[in-house]
Amino acid sequence: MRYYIAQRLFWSVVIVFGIVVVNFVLTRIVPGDPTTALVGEFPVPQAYIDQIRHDFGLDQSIPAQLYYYLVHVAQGDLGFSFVGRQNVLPLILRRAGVTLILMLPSLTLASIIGVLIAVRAARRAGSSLNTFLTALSLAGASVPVFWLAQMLVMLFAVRLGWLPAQGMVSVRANYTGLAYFLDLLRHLILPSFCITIFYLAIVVRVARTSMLEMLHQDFVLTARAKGLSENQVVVRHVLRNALIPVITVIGYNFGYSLTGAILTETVFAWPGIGGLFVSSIHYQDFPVLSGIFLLAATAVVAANFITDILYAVVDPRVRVATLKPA
Amino acid sequence: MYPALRRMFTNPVGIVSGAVVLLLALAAVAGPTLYPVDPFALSVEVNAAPSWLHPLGTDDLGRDVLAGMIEGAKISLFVGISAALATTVIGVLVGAVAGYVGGRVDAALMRLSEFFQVMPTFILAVLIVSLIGPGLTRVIIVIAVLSWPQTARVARGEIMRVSQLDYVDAARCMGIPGWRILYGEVIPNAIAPALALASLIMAQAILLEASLSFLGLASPDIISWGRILSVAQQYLFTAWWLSVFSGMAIFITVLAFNLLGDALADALNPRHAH
Amino acid sequence: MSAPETAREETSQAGKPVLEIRNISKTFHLPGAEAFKAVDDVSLSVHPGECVAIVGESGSGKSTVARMALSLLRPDSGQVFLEGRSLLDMSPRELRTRRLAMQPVFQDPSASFNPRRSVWSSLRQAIAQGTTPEPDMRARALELLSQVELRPPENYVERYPHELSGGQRQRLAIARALAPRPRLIIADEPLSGADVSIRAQILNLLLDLQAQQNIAFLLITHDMLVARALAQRVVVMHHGRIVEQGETEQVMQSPREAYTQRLLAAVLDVDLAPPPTPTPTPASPSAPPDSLPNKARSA
Ligand SMILES: Nc1ncnc2c1ncn2[C@@H]1O[C@H](COP(=O)(O)OP(=O)(O)OP(=O)(O)O)[C@@H](O)[C@H]1O
Ligand SMILES: [Mg+2]
Repeated sequence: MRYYIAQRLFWSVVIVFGIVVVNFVLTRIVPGDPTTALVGEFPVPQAYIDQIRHDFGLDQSIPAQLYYYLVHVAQGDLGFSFVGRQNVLPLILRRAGVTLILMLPSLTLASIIGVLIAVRAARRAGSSLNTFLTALSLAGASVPVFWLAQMLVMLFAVRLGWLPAQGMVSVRANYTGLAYFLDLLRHLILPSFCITIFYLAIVVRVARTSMLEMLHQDFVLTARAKGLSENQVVVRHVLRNALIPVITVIGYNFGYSLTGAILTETVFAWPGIGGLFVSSIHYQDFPVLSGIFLLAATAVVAANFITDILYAVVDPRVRVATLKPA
Repeated sequence: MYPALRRMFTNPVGIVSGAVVLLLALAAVAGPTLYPVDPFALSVEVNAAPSWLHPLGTDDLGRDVLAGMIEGAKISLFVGISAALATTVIGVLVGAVAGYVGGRVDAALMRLSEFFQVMPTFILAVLIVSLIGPGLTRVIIVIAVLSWPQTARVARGEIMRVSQLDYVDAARCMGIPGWRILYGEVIPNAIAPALALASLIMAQAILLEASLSFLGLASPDIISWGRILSVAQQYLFTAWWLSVFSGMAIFITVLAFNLLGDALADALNPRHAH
Repeated sequence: MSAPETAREETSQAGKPVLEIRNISKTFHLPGAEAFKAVDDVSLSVHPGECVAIVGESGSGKSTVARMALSLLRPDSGQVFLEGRSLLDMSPRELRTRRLAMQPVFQDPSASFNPRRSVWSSLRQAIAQGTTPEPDMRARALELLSQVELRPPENYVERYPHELSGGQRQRLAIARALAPRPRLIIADEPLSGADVSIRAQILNLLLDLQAQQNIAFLLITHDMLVARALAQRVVVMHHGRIVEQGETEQVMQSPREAYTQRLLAAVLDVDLAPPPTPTPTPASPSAPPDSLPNKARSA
């Protein structure tokens, strides 16, 4: 076990290192001056450009440049955003918290509902309900999440006027305490509903598959033979074992979940990573964009690593057989 | 292959999704003739609601939305087909080498594909396109570079399965060079799952292109569904037609390719053939 | 009995072997499992025109030996000589031409053919690799089909593998193996894929080929009766090692090892009658035509 953790940890570190290198390479594929990639298209003082040139050794060899770049990143220096007038790392981290407010409730909800649906579907393999659910989850995976968001805005905010369309809090009202919390909740409903649907699609799909596999396994057949009712079988044996792959899905799809959140945020003007992302695209604020990529990729690697370990703790076969389900 | 195709077209899902894809292709090819309106022509009727003159309304610059949708169908199909083609070629090549050569080459290539799979595709695509600038070819290349690992993994597994079959050993015993065995005996019998996957990749590519355009990363001289949605975002309160139709088009197209891919995979999987 | 026996004895000592396997071993390393020694220090040789059988229970390493002999799998240690040359030391190019002298027939006829190639295409591929270039490959293909009694050959040559029965496919596999005019055929359980009625026919076919074309056989089987019908010598394998080898009749009648006795008992319990002799004279399976050793010697 310890060997397995060490091995996975080592691989994760290698990947993170690779990601930093990819990032470095990307700053060099920009047509023209590499400082553009390090500074952005925003007008900045010439003194700053000169300083960047010096700091990153842009007049030196490529390996030397890579070395400077790595040193900067290792010190947590992801550059300075002239658009945001602050350092990239704290800027992104603050926004990340806001994104999590959106992501966590949605992920939780999607997991619970998704597993419940999958259980129902798996028990009636081949039924029309099952077909319907498969179609539904496929539909969920095919819908452009930003369009779904637009539809929700037009229906619930514009047509019905039930809920706010934009932002995280009402700007003009200065709520505090409970009122603030309720106001936030109202703003949270639409965007989180939107990405819950997005997450639901994938949870249902994977949970259903693993549930179906589970139902054909020996211990389930034994339980049935012992005369347990179908309900008891599902609850006692299948559900517990099928939760593992569901967790896995979430853990291994962190990047996908993040993408959904980012795109949803852009429609609802939710001030998280997504909002930052869009404005950085608009202003060509490359330090922020590559910072977001770097942190997102690292978060994905971390989520994969944790999931690998959880998986191995629960199911020792994993350690010896495949390292990760494809 | 043939029984698989027959199975595919007895499956209602396969029929319907196949029909939608055909219809879409028809819209892209024959649309400009059937509805000869210039999608780029500006007019003073900005953000006009659907009417006889403009069946799907106009956008913020007075351009006809239906004509834009037809143009968008072309773009989406072009991106989807090219990206899926490029991805499949790269993926099958890498998968074939990995699965056939095995050993350290295989380990290295699989590690590389794992590395690519870990990276958040969408964010990376946005970063790259922001840096190098928009353009359909660039978007296609970026999609192919970021999606080949899926195909490579599928192809590799299938290549490994096929290359330990007896007829491959028989060919080796005939002294046929390895690469000729690979393309003459192994790949033709191992390619089917990768082709089914190509349909899913087409769906992903269309969705990714739409997302990039939605975020404003499309070159200004094209009209695509994602771009119309990007305009729509500014007029959610006033011009519902901008959002509804183009979003629906993306949704139906992506769904059709996803369903088609599933139906193909099902039809090709002998275990699912009942 | 003793006359043909001594004759064969002479063959194996005098003639240069077509195939000689010297001390080969193979260990498989599966992730997470202990290393598994599938073949351990195995040596054997096959002389021109001779049929040697490897017998042993399932998992004893027979197929692994065959695959190493065919150069489809690299031994961890040891040597394989084909007509006196070491396969392991050859350049890939040399190996490609030399290995034609040794052709395989596999157990499962349904996996033996590329489903996308017609009979003609499969045979053509095999013929085209032959050392003697054939001006008329089609004629040769038809001849091969007739040789394995797929007659009239015109009826078969355009078919696809799935349009043939299991037995027909196995005949086709033999035809393909004959195409490059090999000196040795390595057949890994060529009969176990076929049902009983077909087994006799294929057995017959193999016997005829051996007699007429002076082709040597390395026959892998777990069926002692088949070994007895075809082979002059048997090699008994158990857990990757050779536990006993010698003249077929000698091993059958007075097995030295308890393991061999068990193998024999297993078949004899089921079927105490003499082996399903394909040729009318019951003596011939164990004593092949007298001309054979002589031919071998002269070769
Ligand atoms: N590629 C491989 N990887 C790992 N183990 C293998 C491999 N090939 C064979 N083995 C193992 O080596 C042992 C010998 O296998 P082999 O196929 O040579 O047996 P066999 O005598 O031909 O058996 P059978 O009569 O069933 O065909 C078996 O235990 C098998 O599981
Ligand atoms: Mg075997």
